[in-house]
Amino acid sequence: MYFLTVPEVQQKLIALKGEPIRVAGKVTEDPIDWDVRNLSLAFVIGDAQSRIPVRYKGVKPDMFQTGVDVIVEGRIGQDGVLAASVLMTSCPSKYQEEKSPAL
Amino acid sequence: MNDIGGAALLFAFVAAIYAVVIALLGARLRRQEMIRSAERATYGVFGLVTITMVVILYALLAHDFRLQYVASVSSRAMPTFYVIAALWGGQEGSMLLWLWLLAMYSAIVMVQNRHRNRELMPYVIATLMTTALLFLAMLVIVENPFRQLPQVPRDGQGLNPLLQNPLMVIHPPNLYLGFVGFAVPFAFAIGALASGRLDTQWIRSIRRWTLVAWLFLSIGILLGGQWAYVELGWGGYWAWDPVENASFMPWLTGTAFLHSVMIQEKKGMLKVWNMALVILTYALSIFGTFLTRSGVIASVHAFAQSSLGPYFLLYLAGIVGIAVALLVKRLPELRSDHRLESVVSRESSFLFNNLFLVGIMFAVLWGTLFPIISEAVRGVKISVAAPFFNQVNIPLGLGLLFLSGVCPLIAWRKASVRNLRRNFLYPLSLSFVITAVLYTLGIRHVVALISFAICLFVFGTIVLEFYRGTRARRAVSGGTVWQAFVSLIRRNRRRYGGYIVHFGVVLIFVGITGSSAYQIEQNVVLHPGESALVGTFILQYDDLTRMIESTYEAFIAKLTVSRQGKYLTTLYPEKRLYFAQNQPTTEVALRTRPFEDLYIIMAGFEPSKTATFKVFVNPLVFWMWMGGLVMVLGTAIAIWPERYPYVPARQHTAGQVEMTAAPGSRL
Repeated sequence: MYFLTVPEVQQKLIALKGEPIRVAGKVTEDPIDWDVRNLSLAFVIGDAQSRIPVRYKGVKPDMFQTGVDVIVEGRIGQDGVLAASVLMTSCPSKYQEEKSPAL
Repeated sequence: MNDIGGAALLFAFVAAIYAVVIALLGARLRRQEMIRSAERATYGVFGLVTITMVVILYALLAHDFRLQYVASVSSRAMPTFYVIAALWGGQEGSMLLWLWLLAMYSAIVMVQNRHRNRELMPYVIATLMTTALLFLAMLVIVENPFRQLPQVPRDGQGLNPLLQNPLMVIHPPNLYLGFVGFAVPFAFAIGALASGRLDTQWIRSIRRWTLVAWLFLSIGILLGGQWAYVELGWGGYWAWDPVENASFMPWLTGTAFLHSVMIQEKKGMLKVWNMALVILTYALSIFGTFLTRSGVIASVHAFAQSSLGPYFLLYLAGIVGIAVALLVKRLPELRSDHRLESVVSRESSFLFNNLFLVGIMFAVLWGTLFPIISEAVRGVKISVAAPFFNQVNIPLGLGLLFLSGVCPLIAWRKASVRNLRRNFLYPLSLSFVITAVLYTLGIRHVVALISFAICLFVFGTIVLEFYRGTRARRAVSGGTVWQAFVSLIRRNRRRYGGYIVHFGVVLIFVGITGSSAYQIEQNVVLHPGESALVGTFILQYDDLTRMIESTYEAFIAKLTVSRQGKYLTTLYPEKRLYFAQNQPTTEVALRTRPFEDLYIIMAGFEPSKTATFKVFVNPLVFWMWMGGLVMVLGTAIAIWPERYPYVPARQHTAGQVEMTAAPGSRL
């Protein structure tokens, strides 16, 4: 499985369609759509330059919110949306603190 | 206060350098008083690091938010219990704890060896204090716990709520006690190589140390799994995440060493191999710490820092280089006293056990590092996921389990057909019959059936060993069955403790098999008053209530669980929102029974109180934690000091007396 960043995916979008990929990126400020009944989460990862829309079927992880780093696994469909079967959020661990400058 | 802590850390750094230099110089000049001085410096390091720990602890309890570390891991509203635990709740504190445990172990080693292993000691001191220096350097230069904030905040950020769990409080110290513990066998191996005292003396001196390290690492790994299970809410306990792998790899080589060292003690074989395993285990412990701390590999446990990486890698390259150079230099002196005579013998079954363990280790290492390797070689980052690990490790793991039944019972040198039949006929029959019963009961999952069959076989061999041993003891000394049983274990703790550990491993395999082959996972959307069927359970969603606590706000669902009209229990899955971190957490509702766990999380809810639940039924998970307890018990029995001298064991096969350990093997 290819492990890519968001800009890398954008560059090779056509070749990657339908391939299983793993992508690391930040959740953008676009609205997050969380459908509780169907356990379907839609959001966008990337930054101002490159973005990938993601649809994930499953439980929204506790750490998931705008601005966190996530890793998603899945395939990009014909509609250009990454249908993810795995969504991992960074940092349910104690081993790092978010470095917030001067509280 | 904080200045004292910072100064103590700095003095510890200087004392450790002094200990290394003076110990090596003392060894070279053969000056005993210099080595004694290095020992005193080692005690000094322990004292100074202890002062540092106390100062940090005091700062945490006093809510001294001038310190960046204190402000980032604790807050005023946190319960005192977690404020103390915050000592190892962040990067700096974790490393300080690592260092402190190492200093403590070093001090204990010094006390134990005041009058023993004198030729080895200078190198032991130098190795232990070099390890301490790695952590001291990083604490002093890169991650100083006494770094101050430019402005003092009114309150701290608080510990991540996911970590505010008793399991998470005791998990890291256990893991570190394990990781750090492997530094002691490594130091003695280096001592033996450097001094040329390559007989089995060094191995006897570290036997208990290795067991202690192994025990704590095992407990640490299991606690980590249990924390993931009860806290993270994805229904599982192991995901082949790099951090999990990091703790698993030294465990594998440490386990291999525990086994192969017996062959060296009794047969004088595998000497080079054992050295290699000790070096590898130590290197993997440091490497594991490096993986968790440097952020080279993306993981669920996102580790932010990357500035530590070069320190670890330089250190690792240096120390492994020295160790390998010493090993190569001593190769001619490390020849085996015996050769393998047959593939069907205890020696070779131990060798297979080692190859399987190291094989799994390499598979895990390969999978963990694959993104880095593929990027270096092909320019693309390719990562492997759980399917790879499972595909490779399930057959190896099952093979290993099978060997744990074979190894202890097969004859030394060359097994005869009679020996094989005597020891394995009953266990194999038991395994065959019960597996057939399981099949007719509807267990059709092939891998699960194979796994259960092997578990039963190993269980059979263990029971048979205890049965025969107890009977033989009773024939010699009389008394009740129970007395004979206890005396059997007391007379050979190491051997029977080992069997008990194997029994624990069997239970863990039962748990893993049941929960991976027969897990049920289902999402249900319910309005209050509605119910759903999951597996054999009927879940009725009664109500959703809101509660305000001091540090969080909670939404609690009430679910009544029944089966075939019979009320079983009421479960309360929760969603919490912690104010300080503005962080939601999902609290798992769990009903544990020996046969299966019912595991419910509330994925979300709407203002109308309609809620979505994710429900898992995890069969046999209970036995995994039980297996862990049994393993602890068995290891404790094996570690416990022998009060009786070893007695020659009974005849195993015609003309073959089992070798006994040398009487001087107590620590």
